[in-house]
Amino acid sequence: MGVVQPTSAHLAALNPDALQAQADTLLNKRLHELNNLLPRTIGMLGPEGRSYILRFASDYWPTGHLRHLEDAWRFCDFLKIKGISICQSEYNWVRFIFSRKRASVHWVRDFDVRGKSRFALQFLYWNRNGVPQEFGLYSRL
Amino acid sequence: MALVGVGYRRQLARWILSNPPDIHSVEITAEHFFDSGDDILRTLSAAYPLYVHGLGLSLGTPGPIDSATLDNFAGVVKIADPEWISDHVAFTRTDEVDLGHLNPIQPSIETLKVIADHAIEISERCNKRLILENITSHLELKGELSEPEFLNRLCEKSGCGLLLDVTNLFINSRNHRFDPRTWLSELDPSNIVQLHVTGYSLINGVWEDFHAEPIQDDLWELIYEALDYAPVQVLALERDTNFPDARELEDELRKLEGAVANHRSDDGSGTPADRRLPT
Repeated sequence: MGVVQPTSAHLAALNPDALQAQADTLLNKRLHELNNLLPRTIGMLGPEGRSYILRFASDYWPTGHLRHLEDAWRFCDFLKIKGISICQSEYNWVRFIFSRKRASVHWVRDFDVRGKSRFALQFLYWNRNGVPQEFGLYSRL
Repeated sequence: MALVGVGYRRQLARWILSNPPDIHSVEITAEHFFDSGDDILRTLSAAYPLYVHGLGLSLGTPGPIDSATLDNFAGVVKIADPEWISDHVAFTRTDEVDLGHLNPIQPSIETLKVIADHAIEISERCNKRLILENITSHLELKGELSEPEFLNRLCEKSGCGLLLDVTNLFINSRNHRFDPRTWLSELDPSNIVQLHVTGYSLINGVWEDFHAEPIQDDLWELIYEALDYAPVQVLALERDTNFPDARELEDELRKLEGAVANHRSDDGSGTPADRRLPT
């Protein structure tokens, strides 16, 4: 693998359960980041969420320092191809940060207003400090 | 006295940039600033003692350090002008795969040379002192050296210091069933420059480092031990998810400040041998 060449004795000495636990940890950290970036989408998947993520994760491994954003974006695409609903405003947010565009505007049906989805115009932009920001214009009706 | 501070995260930006009195230092994650945020770096650098922490230099991978990652890292360091820089005693990539997460290295003489050479290269490139952090791992790799002995020799060979992640030590000690105080007592305390602390997660009987919880009582005990043991200069509270409101974090920072005041051993008195813990 390009890591310091372990001897066959060292390999044989590896605890398979611990090795599996380490692999699970890598995957769990990835799932954790997906959950951070896409909490509503993951919530919409319900109990099936983990199995969808595992199916997606087994075929795709993101690289680079924007890996978590790319992972979230690709996971949404994976769900969309399968005809599974996602939270579009979350998808827009993730793609916006990943793309490094200066600003972006979208019509969405699921803009979060105090826990409720609203039909809104979603504005995404970077503030002076380089922190991504979001606000929505929506009717109170 | 050790400076208590926080790890800068986007979700905490407004709070940190408002200069709350309980934050005395800030650690930024280099990778978060690879693409943008130069103004934030300058603002933070002017407002706080600043430290740059890396996740992806992969010191444990044999062969050259990834040049793009090192260039980006050095670029952030140049703008932030930190007191020191840090990364992990770990590998995150191989020749073929970028695993994206920290993985354990074998504590062997061969690995020692790889990491020490990389540490020297990074330190020279950035013109800053490098300190290296212990990680958590479910996989225990055995080598010729114990982990503390490996870390002591690494510091000696490369001139780097240690960023002791107390939570990682606690988690490993629980998952691998060893005494963290004995482990700590085997480290040369004079190498320990900074501490990382955050709460652990306990899921199905397995301890994890998700950086998602407040510091638990049993972990506080180990933090006190570490502060008693080593001349810690900076103590950084980490949180990567499940962000509480600022008041809760400020309470935790005040408690850490109290711990530093009551347990500090950074006045230069005593020799490393004096500081060794009874085991």
